[in-house]
Amino acid sequence: MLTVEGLSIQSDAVSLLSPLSFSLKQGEVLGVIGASGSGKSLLAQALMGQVPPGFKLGGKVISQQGARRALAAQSASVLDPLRLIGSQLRYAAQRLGKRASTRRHYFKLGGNITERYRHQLSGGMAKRALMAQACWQSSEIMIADEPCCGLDVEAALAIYQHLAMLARDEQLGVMVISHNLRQLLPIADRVLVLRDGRAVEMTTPAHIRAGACDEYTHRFWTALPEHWESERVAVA
Amino acid sequence: MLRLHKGYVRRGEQLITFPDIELKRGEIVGVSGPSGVGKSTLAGMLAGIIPMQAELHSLPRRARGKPNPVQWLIQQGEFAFNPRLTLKTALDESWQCDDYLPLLKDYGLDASWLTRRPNQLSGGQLQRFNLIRALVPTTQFLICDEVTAHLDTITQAEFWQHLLATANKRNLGVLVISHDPYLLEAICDHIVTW
Amino acid sequence: MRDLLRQPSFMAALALLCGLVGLALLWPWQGAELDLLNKYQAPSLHHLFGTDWLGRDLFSRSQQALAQSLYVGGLAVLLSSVLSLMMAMLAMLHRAAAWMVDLLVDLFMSLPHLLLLILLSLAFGGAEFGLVVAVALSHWPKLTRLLRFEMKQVQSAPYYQLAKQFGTSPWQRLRRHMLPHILPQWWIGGLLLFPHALTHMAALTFLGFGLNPDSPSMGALLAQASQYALTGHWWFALCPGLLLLSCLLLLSYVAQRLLLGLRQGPQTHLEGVVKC
Repeated sequence: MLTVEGLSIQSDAVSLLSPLSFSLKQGEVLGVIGASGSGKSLLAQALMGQVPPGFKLGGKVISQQGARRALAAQSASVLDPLRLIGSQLRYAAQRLGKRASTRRHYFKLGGNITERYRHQLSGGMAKRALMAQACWQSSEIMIADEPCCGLDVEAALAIYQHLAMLARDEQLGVMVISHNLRQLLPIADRVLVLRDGRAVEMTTPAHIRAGACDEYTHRFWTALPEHWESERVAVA
Repeated sequence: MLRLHKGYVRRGEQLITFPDIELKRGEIVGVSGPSGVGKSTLAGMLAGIIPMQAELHSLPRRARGKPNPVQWLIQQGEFAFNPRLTLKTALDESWQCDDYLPLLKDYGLDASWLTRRPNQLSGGQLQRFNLIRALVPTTQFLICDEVTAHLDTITQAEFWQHLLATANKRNLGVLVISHDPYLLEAICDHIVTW
Repeated sequence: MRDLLRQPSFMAALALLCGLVGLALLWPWQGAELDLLNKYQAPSLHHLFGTDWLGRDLFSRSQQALAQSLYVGGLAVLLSSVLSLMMAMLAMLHRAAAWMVDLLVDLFMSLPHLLLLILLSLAFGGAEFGLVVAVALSHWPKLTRLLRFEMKQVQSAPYYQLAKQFGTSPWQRLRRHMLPHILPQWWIGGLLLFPHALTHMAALTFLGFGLNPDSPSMGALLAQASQYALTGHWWFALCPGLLLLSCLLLLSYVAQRLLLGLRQGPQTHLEGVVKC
């Protein structure tokens, strides 16, 4: 269980993330949505205790029984360019506990990924490597930052299903940052909505679908192409 | 008229073949396919950056020293701009005058942002600047390569609203490359599946 | 870049370097007066670096030599870096030109450096002119290769490709997109060449292929000192040697930090940080 109390990122003049409180239970998938620039990635970094230079971290992040957190970053630039992907992942798994072996089957990586270097990976491969790395670190809390950005539908679906399975079978607390509502909502238990560094609300997928949520949140739902009104198409 | 019949490109050992594409002005055609089949290569080829190899193709004629009538919008606005230049310099480069100023307002962009550099704007704003940069008067066709894949749904909807309105007004042919079937369904006249 | 100016270690190195160079250039005494009563004096307060076998003040001579080396080295480095920029630009013009330039770079880099220097210096008649030309002609390949790499990177960047789409002329593209990117690399690369060139010039002069041994230069000073190394006059070689060494180390430290600062690119603006 992860409890966040008044987490904020501020400097004297600017506030990037206003105080934010929520909790993340084991076995739960928490979605985080918001427009670009609303502070989604910053929230992920703040949970890992990182802030941009010149800014101060406020508030508390309490994890029960010292639950470990792992972040699957948005871009492959966090991978070591000089080592094979496989050797990096083995290192992560060895260093952090025995449970790694039981989790291996969640993100199966073929030789086409483990035997390559960072620059040889395609976008989809890099995402899978990042997910596997975070997953194998035998953490209790996993944070995935835009896990499927730029992937095709099938690949994205596979990753989301793996995340849901992780939460259900391994009792992991999973936080997924995404703007892909179509794929996020089926697996999320609750959704946190951010706007300009503030929390708009904490809601559930059912409420978003039904429109029983903040007007701003609902706009994300109605802005999906399948909900565009026909007049818009007629303009074309 | 933009036309490609039995196009192919050789990448070392690999041979990538392209689906047949026909795009008239005023038409919106979608291209969908799994990632890694060479959709970006197709975009680059139609935009004339990668040499064209095809049994039959026709592209609008390109005058020397003038902007290409087929303009290419790339996936990430962040990479479309030189990080050292302000947006004003970038837009001036393509327009060679400041006739784009009225467009800025239509697209919900603030003229004061022109003095900023790309890293001071969000992805959605950059992508709109990118679009305006490509909408020089001579443009006849737009190749949109996953232009909204990195944007949130609200920004995505706004972006397409703007783009479709402009395409309609200026009678542009738009080729939409995307792996979002719902998006293609919503905006395209017909869809080419790889 | 601005961050660099706040680092005390960098600023200290820069200040020290400027001090040393300034002292060498502005030192008023030639150190040419003979004082036969005071020869073979060990370093003292009166003679900081001691005196040589003719009673000349070694400190003054060292300063003179350093100034001379900096001047000749600077000239050689300037020529060399201009040459490397020209070569890199030439390679951009045409595929055949690129092939030619790459071949030349490989050829020059495959030859032993010192041998090449000696041959070139002899071919151009030795002395100051020969030395400058030899250093200029043998130091360009590394910088050219670096610049070629940077240029290729810009050429493959989407914004450069898109600039072509807008019908801009090659000259405009060069001026707007290419030069602002590579010029900082270029001048720092030139700065990094400097210590390299100084060492090699001193080495050539030491071996007798460079400057006239009568004129005070670092290589000549050290060459003459080597004859006295075993007679217990340690300061002949040690003091000018240390001066040269500290200058070189400071120079290469400053240049490397500058390069590092440049690689990290322009500081992301506050608003730039807020990106999802």
